Amino acid sequence: MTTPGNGGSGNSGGTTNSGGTTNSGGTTNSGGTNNGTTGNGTTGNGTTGNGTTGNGTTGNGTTGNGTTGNGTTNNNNGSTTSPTTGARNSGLAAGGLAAGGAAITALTGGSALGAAESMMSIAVTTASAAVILPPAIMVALQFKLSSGKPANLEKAAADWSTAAAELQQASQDLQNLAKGIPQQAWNMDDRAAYEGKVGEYCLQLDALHNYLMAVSIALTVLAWAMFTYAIFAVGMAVYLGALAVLAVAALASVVGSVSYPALVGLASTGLTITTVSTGILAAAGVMAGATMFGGAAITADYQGDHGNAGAGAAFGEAFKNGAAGAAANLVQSGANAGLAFLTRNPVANNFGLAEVDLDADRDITETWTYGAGAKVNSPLGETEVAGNIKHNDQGWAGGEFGVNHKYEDPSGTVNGTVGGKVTWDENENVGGGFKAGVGHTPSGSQAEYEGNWNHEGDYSDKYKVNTPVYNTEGSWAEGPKDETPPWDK
Amino acid sequence: MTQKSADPQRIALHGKDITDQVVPRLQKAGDTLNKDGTFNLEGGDFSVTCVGASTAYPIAVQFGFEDIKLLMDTAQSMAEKINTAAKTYGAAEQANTQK
Repeated sequence: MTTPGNGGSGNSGGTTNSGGTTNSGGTTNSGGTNNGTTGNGTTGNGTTGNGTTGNGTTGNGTTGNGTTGNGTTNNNNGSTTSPTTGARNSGLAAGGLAAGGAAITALTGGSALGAAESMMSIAVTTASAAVILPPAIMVALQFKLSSGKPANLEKAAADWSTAAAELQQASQDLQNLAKGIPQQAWNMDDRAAYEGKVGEYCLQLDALHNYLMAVSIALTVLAWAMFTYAIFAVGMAVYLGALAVLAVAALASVVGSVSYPALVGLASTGLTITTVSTGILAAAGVMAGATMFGGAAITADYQGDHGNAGAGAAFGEAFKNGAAGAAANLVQSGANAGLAFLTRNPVANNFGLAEVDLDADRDITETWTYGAGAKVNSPLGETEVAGNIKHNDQGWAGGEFGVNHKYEDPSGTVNGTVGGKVTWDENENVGGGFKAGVGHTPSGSQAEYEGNWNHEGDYSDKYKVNTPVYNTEGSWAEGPKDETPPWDK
Repeated sequence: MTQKSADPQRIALHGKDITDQVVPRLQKAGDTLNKDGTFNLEGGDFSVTCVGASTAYPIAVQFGFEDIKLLMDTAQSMAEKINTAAKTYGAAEQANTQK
């Protein structure tokens, strides 16, 4: 629909038809009827926006997807001219695919949450492409900040629920075992006292079971909130993309196009809706956090009431050790929010540092892993630096440090990667490896070499060459591979 | 009053049951939470917007660890007390029958 504006005159008429056909969606309508007129564009857009919001809030996956897909087709048909459309179209085409994938996984009973990640990246790309409308930049920023990995949350949620089931089983087993002692085998007075104690203990187990389930549910709810947000984001991005194309027409003074300020106004409304939606997602996050944190305190308190003197201490210990991880996540979130803001405008982005990653994780054996990483973009390509060190009660327990660099020359002829890694364990045994690759982009040819050594000085390597006419791989350190004939295998 | 009786072997078996059946379940619950991707679920996976959850999560994990360990210790000490009780009954019975 946007495109029609571009075409302006007769063309738009032609385009419209296609628009009409393509688009079963509400979006299309605007395209078809309206091309010539200003009013149409506005109405159509308004409708789309509404539709999208509704979807987002309700969380209706199918509807949202359908709309997006339709929107995609339209835009493609329409858009021949607009400078913003290129990126958007590719994003939208991918969006259609991702949406289709989501529908398929939903039908097959698998988790659709994985699609949220690609939907969010599509939304960021698409909204960023609408840079001609300033509010779109802030929308894209919010999308960037709200891009998580709900599929990972769901996976963790499954583990929490499995652990909870074990605790419940333990509680039942213990009660059955205690009751299962025959009366004639033990009917002294202390048996009643013992069974009472078992009962109290099982209440503590049940309380912990409930807590683990609460965390599991909180993670699941949050994962689906993020998924719903992703559907909303794609819809909003499509809407902004449509407005942006109209804005190009407006600024080019195409006769009959909507006025630019009116479009900025519509985009601002989009920003307001996005801000509210992001607020809802943030609130979902806070609620999940409150469940995890408050739930732990309540569980400890409840267990204290049922004869567990150590539960409060367990909470204190958890708070002390968990706080370091929490602080790392807090600092990382803060830093990444700042970085996302600095790099929010894709057109005028000359800020190199793209992302930082900080971790402090403590496993059940009390080994801490501290990690840090950063990604830097420069004219030389993208460089990633990451490392981690482990610390347990015996002291430093090894670690690793690695660098990776990716390069692609602007003319698109050569690409390359180079990376290296050093690892060491708690006995100061040092090993490492490196990998370098170079490719010729137009022909798709590639050569890769990888070398690794361990602390005993053993060196191993691997090379691989792929071209359209010649392919080989092997190792120089090991010598030529023994070519076993296929019939001897 | 019913007659009091105690079978030390049966009571000792109960202690062993706790060690062999109940404690391993708790152990498994702890190991499940300790799986890669669960105990160290990335802060970034929550997204910046959900920082309220990403800061609470590590504390939830640690509370899970500590509380499971504590309940494991409690179960273990219950099993030990049962064993002690079985031994006491056994010694008393022996003392009585020998006389």
